[in-house]
Amino acid sequence: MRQTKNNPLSHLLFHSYYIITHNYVNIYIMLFTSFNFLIFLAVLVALYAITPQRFRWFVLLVGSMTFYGFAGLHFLIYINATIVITYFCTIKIRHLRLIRDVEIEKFNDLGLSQENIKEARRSLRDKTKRKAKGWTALCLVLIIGILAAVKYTDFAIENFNTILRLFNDSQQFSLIGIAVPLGISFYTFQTVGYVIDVYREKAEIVRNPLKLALFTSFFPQVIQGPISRFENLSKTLYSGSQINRHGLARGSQRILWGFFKKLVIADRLWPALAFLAIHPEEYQGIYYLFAIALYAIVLYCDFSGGIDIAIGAAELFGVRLPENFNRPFYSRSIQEYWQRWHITMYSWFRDYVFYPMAASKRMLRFSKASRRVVGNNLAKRLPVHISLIFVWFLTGLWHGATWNFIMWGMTNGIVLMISLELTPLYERFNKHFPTLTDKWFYRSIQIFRTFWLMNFIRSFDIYDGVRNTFRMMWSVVANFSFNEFLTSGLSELKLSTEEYFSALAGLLIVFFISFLGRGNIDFRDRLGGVKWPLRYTLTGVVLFMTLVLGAYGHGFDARQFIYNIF
Amino acid sequence: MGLTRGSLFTIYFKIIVAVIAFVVVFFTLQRLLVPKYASTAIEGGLIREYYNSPMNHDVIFLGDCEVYANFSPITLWEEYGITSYIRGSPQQLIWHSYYLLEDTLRFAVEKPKVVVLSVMAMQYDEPLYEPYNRLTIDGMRLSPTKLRAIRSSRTEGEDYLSYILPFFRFKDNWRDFSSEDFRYFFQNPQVSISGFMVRSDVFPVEFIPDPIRLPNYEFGEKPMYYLNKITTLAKENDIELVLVKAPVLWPYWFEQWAMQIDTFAYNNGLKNVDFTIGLNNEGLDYVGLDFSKHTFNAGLHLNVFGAELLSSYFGGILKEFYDLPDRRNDPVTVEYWAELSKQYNRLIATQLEEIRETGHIHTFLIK
Repeated sequence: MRQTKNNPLSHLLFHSYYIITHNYVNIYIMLFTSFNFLIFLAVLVALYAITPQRFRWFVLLVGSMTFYGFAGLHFLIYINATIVITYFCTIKIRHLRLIRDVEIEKFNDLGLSQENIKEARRSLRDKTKRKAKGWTALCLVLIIGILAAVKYTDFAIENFNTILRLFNDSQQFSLIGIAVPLGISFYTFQTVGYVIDVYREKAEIVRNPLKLALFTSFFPQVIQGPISRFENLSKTLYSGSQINRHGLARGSQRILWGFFKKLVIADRLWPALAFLAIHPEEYQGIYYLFAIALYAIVLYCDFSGGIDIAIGAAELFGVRLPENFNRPFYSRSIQEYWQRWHITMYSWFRDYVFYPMAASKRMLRFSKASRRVVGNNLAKRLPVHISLIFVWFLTGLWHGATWNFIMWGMTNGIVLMISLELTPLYERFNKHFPTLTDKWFYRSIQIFRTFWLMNFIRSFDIYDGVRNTFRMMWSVVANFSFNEFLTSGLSELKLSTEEYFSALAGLLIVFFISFLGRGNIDFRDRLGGVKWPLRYTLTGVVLFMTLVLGAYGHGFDARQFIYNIF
Repeated sequence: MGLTRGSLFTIYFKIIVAVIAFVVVFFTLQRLLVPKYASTAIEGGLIREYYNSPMNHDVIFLGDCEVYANFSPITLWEEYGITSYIRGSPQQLIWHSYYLLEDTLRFAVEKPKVVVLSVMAMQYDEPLYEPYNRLTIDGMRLSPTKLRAIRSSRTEGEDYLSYILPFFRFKDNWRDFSSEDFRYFFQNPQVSISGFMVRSDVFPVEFIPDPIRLPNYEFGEKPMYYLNKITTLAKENDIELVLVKAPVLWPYWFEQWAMQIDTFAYNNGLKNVDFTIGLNNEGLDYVGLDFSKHTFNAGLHLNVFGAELLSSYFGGILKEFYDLPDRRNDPVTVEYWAELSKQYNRLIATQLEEIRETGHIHTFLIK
């Protein structure tokens, strides 16, 4: 089927649909929501607790490699290649800096004048920096090269074949079909961040290769993030904190919350979404609107649920992972949305691609040169706009080797660019109506607008092919029937009324908890403030709702997290 | 900083309360969610009921519907004083029967003297469907035998945990909650008389489809392996094993299969009672079966009147060849079987009344 090749999400949707309709079970990895994972976690916690503090990080490394190897031992080759390359290059940089420091010390003994010493030091520093830059570049080329080779080769061949066909060339190259290693986009980006930070002298260079291996492969985050920074993660990752009641309780609560979102909502609603995604001909217009809203819910509960489990699992070992979501559906603008959704990816692109590019000398020169053509004002903003579009092109490509994802990324970039251009207009509007922005209904309209805008952009993830997605968008105008949807629509979508209600009940709880979390307060802190019988009861309710209403076990596919495929 | 004794006590207290609350809620929910087999698939209650019996039967039947629909323990009791129990369930495979024999020997108060094994399931080499595994294995008491039964029977995707804690298999039954789940919360309904399912209705044989010829008639390795294991287990426990093929027209019992069973019985010194010999679309003369009135589903199973005839005949064989005591002199046993007979006759009377009034039977449960 063509769609299985073109769009990873369609592939996943199709696969899931196939599994649902054929009652077929296929487990590729140790899923966070599997019993295997819970047993693995319990054993690892016990081993961690009985191991002396200085060796505890090693337990995490063994656990991480075991977890990763569960998907297939051959995948360990890729991740270990990345680790070895990174280690070798960063150690080289360290040696260069050590030699530089020794040489600088020696200058004092050579009897040179202060001015000459200064000059010699500067020259040596520049030379070392150039060499370090060379090693950094080599490292980045190699580790990004692995990512590119396994993830994008087939995409490149497919496009090359399309070009050949355009020129009526019958020559076609066959796809190589490499299985993409789990979480390669995540661990590669995390490692790239580390290498750049080492070059910028922001991160300490890890001298123990096994510790670097743990940073790269730490099991809770290796397959779907969050993408950590070395200087933050290393504080707790290697400390070998004692397992304590508080950490266990908080970690377990967070894991439970992740299970709840994933099993009670995301996986329960998944069959309806899968059904809509692979039947675009029959379900258009209002069904398209329903599908994109459903996808927003499913993706949020799936991805943030996975992140909750990752953060909770790390907390059991006293390791702190960065937050990846901050109530994104309360965003009032697309800029705000991207500061609340997949935060670590957004900040990664901002810090390692956008800022260096927008503030680069070349870009500034280009901005200066373009003044005559586009005028002073626009020329000043050009570096930002170009960098923005480039970053979002990369973001799309990072999500998947398909034109759908590239379109998704570019659309985000364009909307953000337009939004930036319209900022003065908004400011003028706000000046004229200063009290309006504080009114709840105005805020609600902004939230509503952002929610649906993001839904439309996200629909590139759902349907097979860019053209198809545009056709579905157009169907809202051309083929809209509200009555049909109300009379028989929902019941056709592979879910019973009870299932809709159970997902809705789950959704209300998520909404309620997220509402209580306003002001960046962790709900668990609020929960910690109430009397223990009530606290235990609330936890019990969520636990039993997950156990009873969760879509798992017999008749359900043990379904991957959506972001596991990136 | 160490914890004081008081705060330690509080922590332990909270943990104990939480664990107890979890266990109580979990098992309450499990009890609510697992099927009660009161209105649909009532055969699912068969295996479990054995543990409510005195578990001291002289004869144990093992097999699928060929035993639980076709042999009446009440007839064996009333005519011969034989105490018997049918450990049968739908699509019960040979390895299920083996583990049920092991289970019987593990839990029985007195070992049986004779085991009657239906050979119908010898044709199946692999586990068939998960629901059939459930109908058999879920009713077994938790023991190493049950774990082995699970291991040998699992189809793809089935796991141990959901057999040990059936909550994980039936959790989605919340969508079909009914008053039945509350009515039978504490006690499942009784669906059989000593493992026998009573059906008093008649659906005569009208048409028997031609059998589909098979490419290979040789029994598979797995059923043969377990048939050998049953034979060995019976011998080790001084139990006489009888192989039986019930007199039903469908599913078709091929001659090649019958010959293999015959050879196996001969080689192992076992009695093989094949009621397909002499069987035709009208019935079985020497037993007195008439398929115009002794079957409730067109020759697939006998009704209670057919089962009584067959049991009367088969009881004679058991009595003639095996040293089975007549228990009708033991007051405790008599009292127990008298109660069963009363239930049996009451159900038949009820069903006949329903047939007279509506043309169909509606009552299947004993109580």
